[in-house]
Amino acid sequence: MSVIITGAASGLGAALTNEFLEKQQKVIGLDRFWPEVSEESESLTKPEQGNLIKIAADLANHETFPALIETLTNHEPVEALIHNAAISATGPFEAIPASSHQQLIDVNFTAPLLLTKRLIATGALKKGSSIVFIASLSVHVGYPGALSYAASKAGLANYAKSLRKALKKDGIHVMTVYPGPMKTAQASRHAPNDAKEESRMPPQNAAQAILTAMKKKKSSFIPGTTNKVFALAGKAAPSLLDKAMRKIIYDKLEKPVYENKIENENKTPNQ
Amino acid sequence: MKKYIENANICLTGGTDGIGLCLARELSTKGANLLVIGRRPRTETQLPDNIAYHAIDLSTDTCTAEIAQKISNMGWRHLDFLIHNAGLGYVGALDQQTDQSIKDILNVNLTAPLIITNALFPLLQKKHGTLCLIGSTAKGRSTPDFAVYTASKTALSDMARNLRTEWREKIDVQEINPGPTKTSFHAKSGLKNPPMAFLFMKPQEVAQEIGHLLETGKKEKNFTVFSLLYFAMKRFLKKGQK
Repeated sequence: MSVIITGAASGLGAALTNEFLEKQQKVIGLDRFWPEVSEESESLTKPEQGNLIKIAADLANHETFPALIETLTNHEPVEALIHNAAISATGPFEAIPASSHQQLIDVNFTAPLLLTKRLIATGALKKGSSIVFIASLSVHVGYPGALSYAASKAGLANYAKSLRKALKKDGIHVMTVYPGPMKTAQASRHAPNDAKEESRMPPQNAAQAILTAMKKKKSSFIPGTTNKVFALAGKAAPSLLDKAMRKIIYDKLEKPVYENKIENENKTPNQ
Repeated sequence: MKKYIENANICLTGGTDGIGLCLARELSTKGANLLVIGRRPRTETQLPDNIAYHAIDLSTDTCTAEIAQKISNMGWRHLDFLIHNAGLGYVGALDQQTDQSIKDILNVNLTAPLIITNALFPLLQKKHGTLCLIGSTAKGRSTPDFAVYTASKTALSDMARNLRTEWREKIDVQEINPGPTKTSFHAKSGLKNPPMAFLFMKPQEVAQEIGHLLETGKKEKNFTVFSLLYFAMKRFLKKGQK
């Protein structure tokens, strides 16, 4: 079995990559930046156990997609495509520059839609394969302070819903995952200062649960019991959750944290 | 809080056609200071001459700067209403949709509202203005034939939700979701004969209702099947009176 994973170099993507590699499977890992040495990827990725193909791809740069698709279709058709790559931007909506909001939508939302369409059209996915979208618990509970991030995830989750119906006849399974806060470098960068590290889910646990959910061909999946409870509460009383989320997150964010394409051009990516 | 259209500074996107055009007329009649943004050159629109208009392509990066400039040219120091009405659609098989169509829909329906709102925040905040997002009752549904459109509107609705939480005491956020309306939208999206078209609302009816909602400040309005029937009945009764 082989699988394409976006954002495979760190966080949940690296954990998923590791899970597949441990099962002797082939991973075609896309990331903007494959670090030579990074604590997170070193401890997680054991390439001797499976076959990891690292592909450098900037999902904000849609012009490179035709070439990227060509590279991907040079490999055998895959059994799974996991849209995991995402960037975040936290802080008051108006304090984050417009270009960062735009870049976020391009990476988190537009890119997976473009890639999905092209990979389906080129037959890069086997019959019976799975397409997995990593959305966010924010779809159910709201996420003030990460406005464009939450919007991108809500859009992505809805797209998956339509795609599921459209691909049913082709025997392709579509699953949406709504993870809550995880113990990753990215989450720490964007969380309020007082957030407790230990209460967040280790990405390895989420990755294992996601693999099980894929096997069961679930259509949607929320890793973790606490997250499931929050999601239920969010559905039952959205305005109550909005108020709570404002207190828990928005009011505690100290300064905006975001990526900026223009500012980043002279810096090493992923820093 | 009751608000007034009369003498209010209002910026409206997508005002050359359909609901937007009717809304522009409605707001102008009610005495608003109006700036309409659309894609087409003025000569190709039916916009009344007394309404300020600028042709700006909302799928470009530069649209925010252009709009900010036009608003400043109007001499406005604040904005009472910012109405994001411009929207694109595509109906057809998922794998047949061009990359450009996917990008345009997400840019116009989601990124443009995000970045324009972001840029105009200081003007909106000045006098506790209203941000009005025109979405769709399709939001949240599974729609394989127009997946990208529905996804963009679902994201827009999420934007309304979280922005309302963030801007609680600063700016009102309104989400209005019209249902199927008799406009050129369906034809432009590639849908030739929409089913049940005889029940569709007229853009004038929707525009009138939006004009009313802007003044009441209602947070969210979904035009449901009941709205469709209500308007159909009204039309029927009017015919009877004649």
